[in-house]
Amino acid sequence: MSNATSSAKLKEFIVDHLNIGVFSVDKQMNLLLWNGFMENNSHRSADEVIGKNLFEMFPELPKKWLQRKIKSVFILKNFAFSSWEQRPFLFKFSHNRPITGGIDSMRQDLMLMPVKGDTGEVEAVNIVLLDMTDVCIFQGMMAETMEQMETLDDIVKTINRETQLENLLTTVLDQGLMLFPQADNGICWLLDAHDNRFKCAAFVNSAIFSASEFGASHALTLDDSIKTLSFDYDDLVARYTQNSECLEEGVYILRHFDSIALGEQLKNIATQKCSLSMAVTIEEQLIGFLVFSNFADKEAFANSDVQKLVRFREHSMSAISKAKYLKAIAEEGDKIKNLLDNAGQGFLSFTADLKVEGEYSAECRELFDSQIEGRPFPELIFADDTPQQQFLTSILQDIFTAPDNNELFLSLLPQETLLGGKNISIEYRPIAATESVDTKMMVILTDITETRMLENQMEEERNWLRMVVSAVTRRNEIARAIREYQLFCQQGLDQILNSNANIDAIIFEVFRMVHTFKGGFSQLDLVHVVKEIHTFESQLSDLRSRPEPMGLDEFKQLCADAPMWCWMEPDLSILKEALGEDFLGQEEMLTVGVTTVNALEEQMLSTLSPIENQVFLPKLRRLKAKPFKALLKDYGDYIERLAEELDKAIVPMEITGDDVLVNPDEFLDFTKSLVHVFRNIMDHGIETIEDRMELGKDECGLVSCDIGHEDNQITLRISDDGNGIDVESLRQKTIDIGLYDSSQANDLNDEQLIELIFTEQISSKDSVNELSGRGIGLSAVKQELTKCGGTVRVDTELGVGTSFYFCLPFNETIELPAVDVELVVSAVIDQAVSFLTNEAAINCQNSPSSPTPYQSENLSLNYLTTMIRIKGLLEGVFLFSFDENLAKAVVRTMMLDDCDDESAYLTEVMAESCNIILGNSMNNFPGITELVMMDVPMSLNTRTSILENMCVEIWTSLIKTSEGNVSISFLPSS
Amino acid sequence: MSGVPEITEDQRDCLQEIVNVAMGQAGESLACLLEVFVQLSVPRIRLIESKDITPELQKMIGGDDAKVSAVRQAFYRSSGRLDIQGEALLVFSDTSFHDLAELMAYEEELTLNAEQELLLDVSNILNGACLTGIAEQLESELGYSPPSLIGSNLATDKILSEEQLSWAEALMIEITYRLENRSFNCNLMFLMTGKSIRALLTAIDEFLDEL
Repeated sequence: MSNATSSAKLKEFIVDHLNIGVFSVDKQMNLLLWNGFMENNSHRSADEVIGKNLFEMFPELPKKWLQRKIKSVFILKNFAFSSWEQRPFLFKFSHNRPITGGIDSMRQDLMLMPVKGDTGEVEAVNIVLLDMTDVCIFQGMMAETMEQMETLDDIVKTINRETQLENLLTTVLDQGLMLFPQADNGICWLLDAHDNRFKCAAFVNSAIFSASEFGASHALTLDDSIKTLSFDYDDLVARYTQNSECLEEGVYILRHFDSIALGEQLKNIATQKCSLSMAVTIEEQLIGFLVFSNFADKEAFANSDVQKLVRFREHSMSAISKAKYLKAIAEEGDKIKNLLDNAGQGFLSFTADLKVEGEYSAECRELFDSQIEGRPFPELIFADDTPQQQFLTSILQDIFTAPDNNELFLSLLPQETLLGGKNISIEYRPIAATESVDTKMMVILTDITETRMLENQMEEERNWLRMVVSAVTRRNEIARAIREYQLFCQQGLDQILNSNANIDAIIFEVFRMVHTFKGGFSQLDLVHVVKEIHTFESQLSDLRSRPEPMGLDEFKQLCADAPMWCWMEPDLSILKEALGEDFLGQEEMLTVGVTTVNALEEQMLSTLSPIENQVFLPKLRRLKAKPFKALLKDYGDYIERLAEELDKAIVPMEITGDDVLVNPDEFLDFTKSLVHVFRNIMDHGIETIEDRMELGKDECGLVSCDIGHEDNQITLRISDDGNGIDVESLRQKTIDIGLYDSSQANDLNDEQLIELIFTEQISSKDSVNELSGRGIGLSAVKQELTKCGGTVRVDTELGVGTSFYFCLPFNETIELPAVDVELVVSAVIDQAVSFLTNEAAINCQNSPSSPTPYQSENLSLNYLTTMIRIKGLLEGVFLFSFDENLAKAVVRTMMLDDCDDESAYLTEVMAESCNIILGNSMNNFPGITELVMMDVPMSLNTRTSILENMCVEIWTSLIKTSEGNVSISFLPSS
Repeated sequence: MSGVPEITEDQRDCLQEIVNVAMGQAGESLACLLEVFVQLSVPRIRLIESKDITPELQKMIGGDDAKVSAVRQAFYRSSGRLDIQGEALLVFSDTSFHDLAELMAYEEELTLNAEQELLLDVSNILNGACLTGIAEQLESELGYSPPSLIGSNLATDKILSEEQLSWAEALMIEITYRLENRSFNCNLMFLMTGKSIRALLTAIDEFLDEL
């Protein structure tokens, strides 16, 4: 029982302190629950929002969408989800990485869960909100890296298709123009080493460029004529570098350059207003310029474009380097090979013999840490992996023998390898044979270790989140799985190893066990242990397929060498770190929902005898119990908040005294009403800081709360060390508001006066003034107190403080109330009369006699009789026996539509009517209703028969009406 | 290692009946939620080996070169005696997002994200509608993981890769959903392995005993 309580406490604590949002709504979208996470992030307290409509409190929410989700949960009784990847967030919360995140608001995953009531219908929807910001940031980082690599890849791909340098540069310019849509054209100048002059290597007009703007004479021949231009090295360098504004290394912007001295040939077309240019350098040697220009607007390029160009430059430079290398391979140019040593990627090539050729980039030496010329490529790339070597060799051979059909083979080649601890991606570019050169395979090796690391890091992060969430939601399963595993490691394994089975059976059994654990753990997202077990499992699997049999000792050694329990460590430490040391350490708790308890209770009432129920019911109800303190725990925060508002100070309130377990339903209304008491203490009792200092009191006020438990009652004392109640002012007030005349008022003693603060007149809001001392809503407290049969006493001393002593009846054993049969039967008869009169509009002619029991062996019945069996506190059968005419009259008024044949509905309608009568009567006995179960009513055509051989007490009474009679009888079970 | 128990004729009949009833309820609640008539196939229940699953999928969807979207969602016991866990696999073929959006009363712009959201939403609803019904009859409740997209525009043989399957044999309950007058076709499969199958059969035995 204490488990259940501490489980409930633990749950409450977790829900409130978890770094996960939890809230619930009912069918009307009113909020029922709002946990700490939601409070903190929305800056709305639970008190503020609970009971309010979600969409009225948060009008910014996507109402239509969310309502649809919630509706689906109500209708389908099913979970619903939403992921940040599709919908970034529901509530616009800030997140906890405001500095480094680069994301505006918290990314959120949602999980909507049905909360079912006793009937199985969904009564509320519980919504869990997970902060996915971290995952989002990591994915963003990944995506950016990938994107950068892809852009580069795109350029490289096009470049690799192009063998002509001009086509290649055109491609690069095209890409540039897409990046800078405001550019009218792009041009590439390359240095011709023979005469040291810049020549136009490529020129691209963007689509929006209209040649006619140049004047007709040049319009038609511009493309051709521009290609014949050449410039002196110094002129062009001066133009694009010295005379321009250098914004970043190698990137320049040139505005409005009419006045610049240009080569003669260019003057005619030199109406450009704004140019963005980048130097193409290889090994710090300037070999050309890429220039994007706009003819009309000298502000066409903004400084923000420079950053784009810097990025573009990095990519295009490396692209041009590669292209030049490709070209160089065909031309066997030594010079350009060197250029590639700077590219940061390994380039190498081989022909059909698969041996690496003499030219390869410097990066290759770095990667392989040795000279690689003449060594077979497969051995280099998979140094320790013979099967991979063989595989690679055979595919490469296929490629070289059938070069025309190599698409397929290329796709089979391994794309990644591990060299010296680095992840290396491998790209293959077959180069078709020309007259002078054989078919070659060019290989580009790129170090992608960092990318992989980032990926792994992200994966770790995801796993972490998954594991923790899974642990929170499935604590018991995880704890159980871990305990089972521990048991297996400590005993189970030895038992299997030392059983008398043969070795194959033993290996199989161990295999089966670890496999099961693996499956279980992976469902619970314990990824680390799963990985370890998987490796071990593979070992076992290899053993089983091994041809030579294994000795038992050898197998035992293998198992002994596997530190199975240690494999659990990483996951355990993650869980402990995130959720606390004790999270899994506690004994397993049985979690039973309140609904289940209620259902059990009902079942007990209907099946067990009242005496048995007297013994078991209290035990069951204790499951629903909460410490009385828990019902008050929120008030500490509440009065601290009030103190802040009112510029007062208080010592944090401590709730002291006995731990009494109570059924929260019984006291919740009362403890809720105590808000008025605390409010009064803060408003009127505790003085402001200044006043307190003046009075020589500690500047922090003291509010205390003490719970006691004695002789079937709970006592609650709430005290403060504030003003106290001014009894004389109260006395004056009773006169002022006309409650008493002055002589009456003077006769009242202090106790009687103080009593008045709980009355409507004194405590109601509009009559409060500073003289009343205390005042708002205390009558509400009194009302709730009376409902649960409690009393209150107030001690007060002016200037010293006030104490409220509440006394609440509390039966720990929950004695079942006694039922007075006569009262119940009378209530049923009254109810029947009122039903006939009000619902069926039938005149009752007598006021039926109060029922008296009599002993009889038989009971006469009328035309139609409805029987309802009741169980629980009161057991027996109620019989409602109607005359034919009366029954038909009831049917006529109860049926909404006119019906021709009342008799067809007789049994049905009468059963329903009696059910209503009995149900309503039971409602007159609060405290008993839930202890009495009514069976389904049954109607029979009894046609004035007689019930015989009963030999019991019978309570009976006859109601006469204008339409006929009905007799109501109760036959208690013996 | 098989570890998969035999299923008796009675158990199969009973399971079939339970699934049929659940399907009926699912159809009703879907109709109520989506305001459209849902055509449901008679569920097929059988044991399947992991190597057969891809050919099975292809047979189900038809055409080796069909491109489909696939979603998976895990389910597990949350309360009651039905101590199972497994995965639901939903394969959408010939599905128009436009129709889907209309169906789900989705009024925002149909971006790629919105399409994915729709797929996940529909999956969750179809899946839950049916599983909840099954569990309810066995007096249990199931919990669900969020649905996740395996991929869109996938070739059928890319939905599951055999190497990744850690089981040898599984129980498969297969249902096809179609919607009247709409381009929508969804194959729904519930897959459970050894321990869960045993748990399911135990629950069915108890259910039968109580009849």
